[in-house]
Amino acid sequence: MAYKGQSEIMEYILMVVFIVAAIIGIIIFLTWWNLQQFQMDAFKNRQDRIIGIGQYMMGDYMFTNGDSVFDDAKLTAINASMNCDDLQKILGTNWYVKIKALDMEGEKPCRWNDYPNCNVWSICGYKENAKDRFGQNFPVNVYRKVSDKTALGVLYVEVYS
Amino acid sequence: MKSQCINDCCDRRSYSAGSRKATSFSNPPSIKQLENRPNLKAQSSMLLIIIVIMIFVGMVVFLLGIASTVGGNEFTGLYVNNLLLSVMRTDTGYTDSKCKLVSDLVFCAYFTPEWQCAQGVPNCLELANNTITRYMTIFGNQTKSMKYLFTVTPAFVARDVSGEPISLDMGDKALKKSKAESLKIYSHPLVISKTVGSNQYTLKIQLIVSKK
Repeated sequence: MAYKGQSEIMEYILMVVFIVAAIIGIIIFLTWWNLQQFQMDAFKNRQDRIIGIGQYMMGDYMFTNGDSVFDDAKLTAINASMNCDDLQKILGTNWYVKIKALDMEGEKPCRWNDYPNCNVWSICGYKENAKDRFGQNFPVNVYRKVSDKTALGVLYVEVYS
Repeated sequence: MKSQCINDCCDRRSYSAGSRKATSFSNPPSIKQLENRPNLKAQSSMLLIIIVIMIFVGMVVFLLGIASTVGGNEFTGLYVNNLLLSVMRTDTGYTDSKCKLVSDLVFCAYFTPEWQCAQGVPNCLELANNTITRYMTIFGNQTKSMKYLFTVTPAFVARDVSGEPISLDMGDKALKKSKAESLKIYSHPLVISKTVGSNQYTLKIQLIVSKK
């Protein structure tokens, strides 16, 4: 009879332990879940921003000749003359764009003196000390005005904190 | 002593519970029924554990079900469509009107595969394959390497002797037969038309991409 009583106490203790463990498990799981959702939302927001900037660049006649075909002459002119603040008024701050034509080896930045023997245009300058960088590549074309040829290119859009 | 007392209490409790039951059903509980009470209690404990586990599992499944997945679909769709358009619009380096752009070359490869864009170069079909492979390799080196397949089909229904649609496939042909549909990403079909003489020919080009 004494064993029976002890076993019942053990049973109660086990039940209590189990229920407490289940509650703790649920709390940990929900906390982890919330964190994951926050991270996912943050990632989605950044991705949406990158897509927005990318689509703006690919569709604006200031940079392109048509849908996703960047004009190297326009890009060089913008690179040399345009102030980043003007674009930041439209697209917000903390972003950086690089367009690279893939018809040349390596990376040769485009300035007035180098044109047309260059293949990289940077808009709104790369910041060394920026944090939380996140970037995506888009396939595009770059129209070479001097040679009248369309080259394959990459539009890299990066956002940061 | 303590355990004895507890045991007594338990016995009294079980007896009084039995009495209540007896009054409600007019039959007093048998000794066997009273002996079985701990078993019933153990069963109810098990049931409670199972219910808690089920609630926990149900909650996990529900939360996973309503979870917002990473919003990569929009970007991936944009990426694949842009890739198809960009490759097709790129210059091949040949001046022949049948071979100027990659899309021209694909057209040539479908309708006149033996055509030579210039002297000493492979025919259209081989050149189209080589050019697309080269551009995709260049692009893959810059961004991410992937499996790809360009499928070219005419807008009209064309079938070979075995009844299969005649299509020109360039890239990883295994991708077409691959069963892993969830890993494949399809671009929107790109329709290109060309007038040769008095006839207009239309081709539909689609790009299928998958992770390596």
